[in-house]
Amino acid sequence: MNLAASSVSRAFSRDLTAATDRELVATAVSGVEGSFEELVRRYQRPISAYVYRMVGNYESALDLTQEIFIKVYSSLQRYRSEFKFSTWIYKIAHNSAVDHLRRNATREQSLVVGPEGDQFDLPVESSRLSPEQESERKERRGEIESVVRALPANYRELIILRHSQDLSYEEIVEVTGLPLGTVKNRLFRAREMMRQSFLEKGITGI
Amino acid sequence: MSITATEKICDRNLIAAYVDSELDADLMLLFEDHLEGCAPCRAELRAHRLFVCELDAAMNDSGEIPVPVDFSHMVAVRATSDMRGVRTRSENRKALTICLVLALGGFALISATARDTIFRVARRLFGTVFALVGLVASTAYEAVAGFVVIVRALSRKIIIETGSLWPMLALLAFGLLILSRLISNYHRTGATE
Repeated sequence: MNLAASSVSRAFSRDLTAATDRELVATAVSGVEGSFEELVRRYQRPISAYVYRMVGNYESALDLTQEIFIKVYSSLQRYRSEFKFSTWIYKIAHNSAVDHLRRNATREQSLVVGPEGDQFDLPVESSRLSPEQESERKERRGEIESVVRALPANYRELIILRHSQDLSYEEIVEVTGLPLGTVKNRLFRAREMMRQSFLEKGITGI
Repeated sequence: MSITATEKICDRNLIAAYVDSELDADLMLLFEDHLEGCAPCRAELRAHRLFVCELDAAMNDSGEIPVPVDFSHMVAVRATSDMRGVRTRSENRKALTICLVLALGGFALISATARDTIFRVARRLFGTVFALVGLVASTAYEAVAGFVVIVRALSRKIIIETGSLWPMLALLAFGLLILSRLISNYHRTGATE
């Protein structure tokens, strides 16, 4: 590991952005400056988005994201390269988010949509749509976000991992530690709950 | 396809897995066979697929939250300065060895620089203690010697110069009395204990 790390560190010390995740982990463990920062740069957006959707509060999401990366750093030596780094980091993020929700007693609850004080409107990518279409699309996205927030945490997480983070069922199983059957069942039920919620709100076409 | 398989294949959880392309090849073929003859499942599949497309688009569009500009640098600095990262046995052993070496080195340096001071203080302390012990011993010796001289002078005056044995006998009687009292006291104390 050390020999590999030293050769990798020489090869990649100048261009960390070209290194793979595994190489960055090896160089970070061997003490190459900037390797861990590059890993943080790569994963800060997906992890913070995942955490934000889980906890529903911008400030808490940023704090928790920081904590997650510190945990990642302190566990780097235990990372086994036969696993995907992204799955491993999501697993740490999942455990931290679950702990956070448990501490705040919202594990089984949906996120209460309050007076929007600590919430943040997730940005919608701009495209070549007319202002009306853009507004309609933004409204639709907002509706979907609020329905996702209203799901119980154990259903919400699977929807986020699958649809926002593009994880496969296999990866979701690894991250959450749930059996494959439970993942399939919960995803289906979560989508059903969401569809039901749209119907109750009188929203059609979703 | 058996009846059991048909019933099982109508399991709505399979629709989600099918839409997500997460069914294994055999089950997918079985499910597609089933779809041909099951209108409710086809309708459910269509609705589910539309919904998943919309969900994917919505959640990928609005995926990110803004993070501070220096977030990665800030986090990396905090993480690398956090000593909780030092956890492996070899690191702990190395840290312990370094601490021991530093401690021994520190003691050696301190004792080398403070050797003269320590010896001077110790010598002065021992000198004072010896002087005090000598003073007490000589005082006691002088006191005992003075008492002996006084007793000798008194006895000479009383016994030899008066030429009578009565004071000597009185002293002996007094001594015997005191001795008997002491013996009886000793036995009484032993009995009560």
